[in-house]
Amino acid sequence: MIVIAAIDESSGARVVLDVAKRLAALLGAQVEAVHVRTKSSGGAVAAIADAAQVPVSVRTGDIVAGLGSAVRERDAIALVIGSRDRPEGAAPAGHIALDVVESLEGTIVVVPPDAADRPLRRVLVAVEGDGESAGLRRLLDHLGGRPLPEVIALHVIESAGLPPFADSPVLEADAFEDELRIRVASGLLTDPTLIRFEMRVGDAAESLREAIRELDVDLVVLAWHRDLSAGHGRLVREMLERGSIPVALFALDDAESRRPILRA
Amino acid sequence: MITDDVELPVSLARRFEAVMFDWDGTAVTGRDADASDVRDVVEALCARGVDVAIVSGTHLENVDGQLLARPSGPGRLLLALNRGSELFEVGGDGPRLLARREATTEEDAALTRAAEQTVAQLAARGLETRIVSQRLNRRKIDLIPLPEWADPPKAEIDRLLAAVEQRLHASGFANLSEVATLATDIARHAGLVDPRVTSDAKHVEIGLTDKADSAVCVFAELWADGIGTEQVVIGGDEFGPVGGMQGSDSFMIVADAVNTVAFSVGIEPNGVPEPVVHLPGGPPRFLAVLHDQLRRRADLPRVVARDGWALTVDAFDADAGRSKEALLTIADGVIGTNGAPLFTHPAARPELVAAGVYDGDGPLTDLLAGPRWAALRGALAPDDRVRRVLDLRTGVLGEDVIGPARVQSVRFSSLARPGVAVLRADVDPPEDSDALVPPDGAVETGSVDGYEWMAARGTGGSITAAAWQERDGGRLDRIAAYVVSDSGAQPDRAVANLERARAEGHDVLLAEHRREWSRRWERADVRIEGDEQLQLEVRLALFHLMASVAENGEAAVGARGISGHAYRGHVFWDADLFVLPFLAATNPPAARAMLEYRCNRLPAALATAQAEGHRGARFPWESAASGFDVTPHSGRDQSGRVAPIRTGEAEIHIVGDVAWAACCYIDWTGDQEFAAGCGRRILVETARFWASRIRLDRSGRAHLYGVIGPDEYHEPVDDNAFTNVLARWNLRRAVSAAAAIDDNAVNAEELQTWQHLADALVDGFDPATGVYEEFAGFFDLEPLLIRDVAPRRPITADLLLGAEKVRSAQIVKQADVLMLHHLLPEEVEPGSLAANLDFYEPRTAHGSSLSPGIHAALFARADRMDDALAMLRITAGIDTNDLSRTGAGGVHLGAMGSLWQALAYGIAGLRPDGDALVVDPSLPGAWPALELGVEFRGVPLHLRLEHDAIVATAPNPIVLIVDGHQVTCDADQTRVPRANRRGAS
Repeated sequence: MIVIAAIDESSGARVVLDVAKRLAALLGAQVEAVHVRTKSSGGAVAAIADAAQVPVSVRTGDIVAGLGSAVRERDAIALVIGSRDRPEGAAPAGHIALDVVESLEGTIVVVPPDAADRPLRRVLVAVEGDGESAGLRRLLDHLGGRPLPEVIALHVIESAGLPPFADSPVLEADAFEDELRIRVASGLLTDPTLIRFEMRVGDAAESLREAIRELDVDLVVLAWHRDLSAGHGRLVREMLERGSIPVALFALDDAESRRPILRA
Repeated sequence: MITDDVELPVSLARRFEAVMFDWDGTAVTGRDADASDVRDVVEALCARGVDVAIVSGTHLENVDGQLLARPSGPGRLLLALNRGSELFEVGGDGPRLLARREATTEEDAALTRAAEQTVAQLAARGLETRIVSQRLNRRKIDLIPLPEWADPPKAEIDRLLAAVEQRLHASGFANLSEVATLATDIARHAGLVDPRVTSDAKHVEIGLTDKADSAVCVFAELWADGIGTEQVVIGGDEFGPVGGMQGSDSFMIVADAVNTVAFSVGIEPNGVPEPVVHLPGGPPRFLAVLHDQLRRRADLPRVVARDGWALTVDAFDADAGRSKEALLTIADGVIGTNGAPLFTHPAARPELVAAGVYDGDGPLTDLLAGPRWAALRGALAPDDRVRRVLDLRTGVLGEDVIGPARVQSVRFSSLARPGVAVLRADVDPPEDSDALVPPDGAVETGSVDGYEWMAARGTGGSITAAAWQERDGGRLDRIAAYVVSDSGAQPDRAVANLERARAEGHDVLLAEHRREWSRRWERADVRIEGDEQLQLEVRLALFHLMASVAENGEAAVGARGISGHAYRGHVFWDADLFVLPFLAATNPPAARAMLEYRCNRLPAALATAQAEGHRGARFPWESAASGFDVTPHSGRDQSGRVAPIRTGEAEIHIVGDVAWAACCYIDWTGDQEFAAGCGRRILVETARFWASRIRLDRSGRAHLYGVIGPDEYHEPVDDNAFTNVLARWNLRRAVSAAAAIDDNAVNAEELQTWQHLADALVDGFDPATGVYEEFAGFFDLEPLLIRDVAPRRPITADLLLGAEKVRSAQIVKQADVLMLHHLLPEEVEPGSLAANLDFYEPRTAHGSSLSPGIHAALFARADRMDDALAMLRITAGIDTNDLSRTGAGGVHLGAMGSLWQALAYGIAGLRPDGDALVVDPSLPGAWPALELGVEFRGVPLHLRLEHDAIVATAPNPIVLIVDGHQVTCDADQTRVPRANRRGAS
């Protein structure tokens, strides 16, 4: 099983390699680095990869197409890519990262340049709450029989989704959470209580960012439809632009959601 | 001769729950025939729970004298005789008259005149006929009074008809029908409004009733046993036309007999009408059908998805599954078993809990999960087709599964024997499940007299189940008997109950259970004409209200009844103010059992008050086994934030709520024993609590500081209008109750103090606007109308805007001031409803499921019917649409109670007033009528409320107050015309 790290000559490449290695350790995979040469890029990538003790291959041509070819040829389980090349503060995600996540199928982990080098021990999966979680499904699928990291499922209730009634929100939170846990995870885990559930009320992106901070999360998992056109993919865009930890994007696949999976 | 293996068409080859049949020619060949075979099978059918009804034109002596059946139940034998004029029930002691149509003197004379004039007119046309009998409510004219046709056997009906028609033709009549038409016209002229003219070929009968009346009566009796028309098979020998006239037995297929199956064993020379099945062969063939029915007691009973009476859940939806399981809960007041599929599924949560049996301590006290009986070994496959139908009328849940394994099953939790549960299933391939499945956690197991038992034990008691099951191929019959106790396991009692149930067998248990449910429905059903969806949802609410509360002992009624674990089964004000009124008005023993729960916890309430430095009884906001408060002190909300919970310390209106519940029960029932006993103790001790909790200011005005009202968005507050006025009412009512009995339990000085404090309590009423201030300072809050700022209502405003925001604004969670107008209309300023409704409703988020039902009632009283209906529909959909998204934790029993109150107190305008019941209805325009049943002062009362009249039916005299006037209903049925709809009060 291969995790591909897409690197360039920027300082963010080292962070991408670090996260790729952490991810590979989690999934029981090997890391291979890929650099798609452009006119301006030189030979520094080999040194960066060597320093990380990761083999690197260099391709030429269109970056997105080159990375796509690499993923397909190596049947990679995930592609890790930097969100932008400059680490200074919150800035829009780079156009290459956006092109990649929108164009390529499969799992793509987008790494901000200032992401801390730390093990991926605590993974937060954003869940909708109205049915089984595609993100959680894909995560469990990737993990196979390997040990689970600490998985937190976060459900954000936005104003339009607020329940009309909560006789006593505090007293009903447990029942609300139990129901959420069953909907989201009962088809995936024989013991859904292995997943920790958290709920928030408010704007989805804002609540997600706050939860990431509060819960000291190492990796965020979002399932999405690979659509960043106007009115779509707001949460993904905001996480890529303003996030400070790696974000794993699982492109939704209708057929996949029908495959039975029940992990003990 | 009985043919055991009779070939039957598909429509007849199934189990029916009742048989209705004609006697002469169908069951017996003639009056002198030996009916012992019929007697044997009829008694055997009744013993297996089948209701049997014989419909005949003849009288009791002829039928009973020939049949001589003396069944001992549980199936009933009904004799509908004298062509629709009499109905008897035959038991072990013989026949007992249930109903008789008594002709008036004028009707009797008109019958005689009609018969005589018919004979005269026929004679005028040359046809000699004769009046041969003047029986009850009818006159019989022999059209062929010739010796050779004196007593023609039924088998010769062809020849008889030919001979009669030959005579008729000779007199210029085309056929029998023409003679019948003539007789009908004459009868009308003679003064009979609705004459019934029938013919058996030889005679023409003029009567007041016919077999259709018999059938209507029989169907009504069967319905009272929980047997619908589609569960009835009708047998006869004369369904087809005779001489142009409708066959006499076809009268049994009345318009309301939807989907009834009928068969004829007669000759039927002109064929049979649809949908009657022709099975020629006379009484032997008929007897074979009865024997076939006897054999079919081993079949699965059918669960009918009857319009307005059935909740059907097609497919197992992993997302909505748990809320459906709660909705499909079958309970008997003692145990509640949710409607999870019999097979396992990762998203299913099968569960059994018992009312008032808890585990754990303090705020963590939770309902104890008991061993489960409704389970089969096996798992639902992804593509399995699952269909569950809950018949609300009979409390029977059917479940079919079609997949790699096929299951057909029927189960119920016996309302007639609370604690006994019954499952019958056909499973293909056969399975080998245990009869009891343990809940999570430790259980005790053992065996007594060969029966396995299992017990779950909590800190507050135990649930012990003993079970028996039997397999025959794929057939599984299982009976479980549960005993709940406040101490340890009770295997001996459980096994004893099981043995008794097993001795009765499946069919008897089903029959008595079905009848008990029907008995409850007969008293409490609500019929809404013109709104089928609401009708079903209302019945679903009533079903759960009835199923959740036992009639004996004490009944701890948690916020979700015994349908789930939400709120840990704790008892809130939901029980006292929202659930109890329905039961006080329809099933007093159940309401009494709820109050017994409070009575038994009076010592704890006294101790709590003392511990808090007060006097009297301080009932807890959340109550479980001990009666001491089990309200948690903090919790995490949906935002993940830990929030303090102050309701336990400050929502003291619960004290007055309990007192109100006691009085609600007394007012509806007039139960003087309770009023003088525990009811009075509750009133006195709650008044003592208020008296010690109230503070007087320098000006002498009385206050209640630091409380939480029903509007829990604002906490704590001073002088909450609801709490203060409730306390005022409590004190005054206690003064009355104490003064009524001179036993020195309360001295005159204390009474005087109560009266003084009640008079001094501030209530926040502003005479200038007619509006009560919800609490001191409410009018100073930001005047935010939640109606305008929320995307929709109902809305959980505290989640939408945050707790701080709603606390600082005039945003109300639920009826608070308005709850006063609902509960205590006599305690608020007359005419103040409209102003307060206008002020508070737009400020109310209705974030509590208890809010819209109360508003529906108030809107109805204010004649704002569109608003009332909107609120009514929201309330009705809280559980069916899982609007709280916590339906998995059980149904919202309080909201269900508020739905009934909206209909009974709001739209019907019912309210006890001393020994009279106020009836002040105002119907939505789209509803032609609303019917509801209540019991007032021990008298069952059925009300049909129309736009221009009230129709009251009661077996005993009852006094109503309609439009301010007393109306004594002293007959069976009283119609009171109404000219004006009421306005806002």
